[in-house]
Amino acid sequence: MAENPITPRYPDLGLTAAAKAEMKITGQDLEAKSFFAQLQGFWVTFITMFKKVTTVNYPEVKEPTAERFHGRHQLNRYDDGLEKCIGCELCAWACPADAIMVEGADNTEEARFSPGERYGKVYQINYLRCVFCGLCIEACPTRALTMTNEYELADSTREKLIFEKDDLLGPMRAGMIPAPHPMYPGTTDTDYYKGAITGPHPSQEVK
Amino acid sequence: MITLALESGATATPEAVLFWFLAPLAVLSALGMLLVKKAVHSALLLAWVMVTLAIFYIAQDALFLGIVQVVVYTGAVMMLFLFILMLVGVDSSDSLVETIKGQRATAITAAVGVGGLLISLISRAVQAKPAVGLKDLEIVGNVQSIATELFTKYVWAFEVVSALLITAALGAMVLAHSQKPIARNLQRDKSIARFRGASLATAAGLPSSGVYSRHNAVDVPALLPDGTPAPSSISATLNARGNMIDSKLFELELKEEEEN
Amino acid sequence: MKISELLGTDPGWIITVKALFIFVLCVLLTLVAIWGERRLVARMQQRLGPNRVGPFGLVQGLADGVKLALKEDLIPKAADRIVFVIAPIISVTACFLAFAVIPMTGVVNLFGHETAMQLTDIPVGVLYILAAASFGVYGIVLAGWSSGSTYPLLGGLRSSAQVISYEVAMGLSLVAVFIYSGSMSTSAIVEAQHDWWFAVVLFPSFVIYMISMVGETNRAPFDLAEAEGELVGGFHTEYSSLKFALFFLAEYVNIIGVSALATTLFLGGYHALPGLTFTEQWWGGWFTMIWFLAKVIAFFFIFVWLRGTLPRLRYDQFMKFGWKVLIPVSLLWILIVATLRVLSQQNTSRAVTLAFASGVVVLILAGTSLYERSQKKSKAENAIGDIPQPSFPVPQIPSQRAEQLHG
Repeated sequence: MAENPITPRYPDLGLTAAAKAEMKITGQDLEAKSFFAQLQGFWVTFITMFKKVTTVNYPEVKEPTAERFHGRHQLNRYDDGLEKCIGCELCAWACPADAIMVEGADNTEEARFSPGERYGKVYQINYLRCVFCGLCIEACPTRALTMTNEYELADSTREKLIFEKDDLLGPMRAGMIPAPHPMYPGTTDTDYYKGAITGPHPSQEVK
Repeated sequence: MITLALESGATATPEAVLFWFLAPLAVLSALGMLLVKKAVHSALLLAWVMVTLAIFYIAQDALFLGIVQVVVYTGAVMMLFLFILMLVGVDSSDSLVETIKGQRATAITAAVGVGGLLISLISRAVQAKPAVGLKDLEIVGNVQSIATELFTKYVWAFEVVSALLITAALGAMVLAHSQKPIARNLQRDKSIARFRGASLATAAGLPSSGVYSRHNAVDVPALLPDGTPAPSSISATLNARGNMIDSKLFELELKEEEEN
Repeated sequence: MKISELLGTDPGWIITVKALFIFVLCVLLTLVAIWGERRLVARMQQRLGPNRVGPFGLVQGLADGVKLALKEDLIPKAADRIVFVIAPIISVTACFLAFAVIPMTGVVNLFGHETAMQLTDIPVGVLYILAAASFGVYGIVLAGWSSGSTYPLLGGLRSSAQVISYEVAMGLSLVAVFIYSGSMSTSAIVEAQHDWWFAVVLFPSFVIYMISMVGETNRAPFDLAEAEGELVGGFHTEYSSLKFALFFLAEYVNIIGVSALATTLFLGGYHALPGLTFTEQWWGGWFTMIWFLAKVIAFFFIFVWLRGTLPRLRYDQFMKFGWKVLIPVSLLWILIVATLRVLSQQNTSRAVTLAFASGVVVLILAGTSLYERSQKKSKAENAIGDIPQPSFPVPQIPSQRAEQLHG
């Protein structure tokens, strides 16, 4: 403690002998200003030229997204074609970026879009504001709103990036009858929610 | 090197074209140097005149001289002129009132006198002598002959001039050197001062300028939670210049109906 | 006939053809250089470079040029219009001028006329190139000033100060070459490198020249003056469209120019590698152009390598380096070379020469070891002493803890 030895080049980090040996192999133990340490940098860039490149050639090669990737939203339907969205606007209130606009309206017997009392009449997502956080999906009570894996949404005007309900509705599958049409005879909206409906009924066809 | 030069006094066509193209240009540039309004343009025209002169030297077999003219005169001396003119600037609005008595008369007399002296001297020196081309003299090459002259006949003058140049450079350094009475505040000192100050409130830096949805600039102060502008976010310079904008312009107006 | 005499017999149309050839070669090499730099730097960063425009992105340089030409041409209100337009023209002209004395091939047959691919050969050729370079500084400083705004002015002044400083170092490194080859003409220097290239014989000059050529062309790691993060764009901040394209072109032609000069002065110009001299006769002598281009491209690769590897030096760091390290070392080296040359010319005995050389080596070693010792001493004086034991309990310093654990 009395004498003052010459300051070590690096602070004493409490390295074990094994760690020090490894640093010697990789060349990290060279003093920062030593000649060979500076040349070592050139070797690194030179040898990197021959390594396999990490670039993905995007339009020709599209790497698949993860399973639960946050992509474009989709408004789902029940198996008979009625929309799941009940126009409750919970997604709009959950959105931190204020990207969703919903206007609910009453279902009438002539024009019924969803099981139950109300449906989403106007449903807009402004993809210029959306941050793809997924809070709206977590807020939706009926699992009407989910996210697909589609991310290629770039477009040329601002108007085109405000997706309307038609752009967001899920596809019609085999057997589905497009809304508006009456509910499956003898069911309530709770049956629909519990997944009891697996297909359409002929009486649901609107002439 | 083969000199395909003609008899002294005769001019080959390429050289004539060169001369008759560049010489009027040089004269116009020299005149322009006196007559243009901006000092930098004047300096540039002077640089062009020097380049033209260098081209003429090269055309007349004085290669070393021509190139040194470009390197030293145009590349260094005129560059220095240009730096000074650009940084310090000479405005045409500078006062042209002459403060020394009788300056104009003395200047004109002196100019005429010097001009006459030069003309008489040069004409006397050149009159009876025939023009001698480079190939008539027995020289090895431009550089070698200049070197021989410089280091044998004129070595004393050369050394004295070099001593003069070194003295001038040293003198410039000494004159420009200034010993600061207080040590300069380096980054480390500033960093230490930030944390050893009276309070740690400003250790992370002062608050930034006001950010509103419609304005984000240094000239709007940040607001404290009660709505008053934060004094430490008001820039003293802008305030003194009267450039600070009131933050009220960018605040949202509460509509009367919403309260109901 | 020596090449310089051979060039003196060129008719006017051959000179025009050569001038056109040089211009086209420079522009093509620039396009190749732009593409090559982006691809190489990308590979050094483990990614591909541009690969969209044309196969392997080869047309990228041309596409960039066309795009720049079609952009909107802005002249700031506070700019001095005449000088603003003239500045890039000066820059570009100066760098093309340097190619007039670069020997690209040996004796070849051009359209039936026996000549060499060198536009002209003056006895002070290398000095002429230095003159062209010093004239090019005008472009930078005028561009900075005429933009009428602070960032370009500062950037322009910094750039020009840097270029001038490294020009001095460059000139000094070339003096050793002049002493050794006995001439300043480029063709004579190339001919003097028949046996040994000057990069081997005058290695310190070569190293100094390489460092100063990077400094002169404002390239990484000496590119603070135009670094995007620091000074926006330096002297060419306010330039757009074709004038900016001209600055871009000037920068790359400058790089190729100093590489060509390095090739000529240190790597034997168009001469083949020692041992492969039979290739110089292929294609009627035109194969030497391939050797020349290969060497220029090798230098360009080194430029790109430096850019991909080294961090940027701070302005005061590289000015200090240029003036306080490069110039004194060059001067010292010139003294040594001059003495050795005089000794060899006066046919002194081997022993004297060896004694001189070893004396120089001993002095240099002594000087560097004394310097290192004084550095160590000053470091030890400034070292932080042992931390005194505090009076209240503190956690242990990691090294002490490690000692405790591992013994």
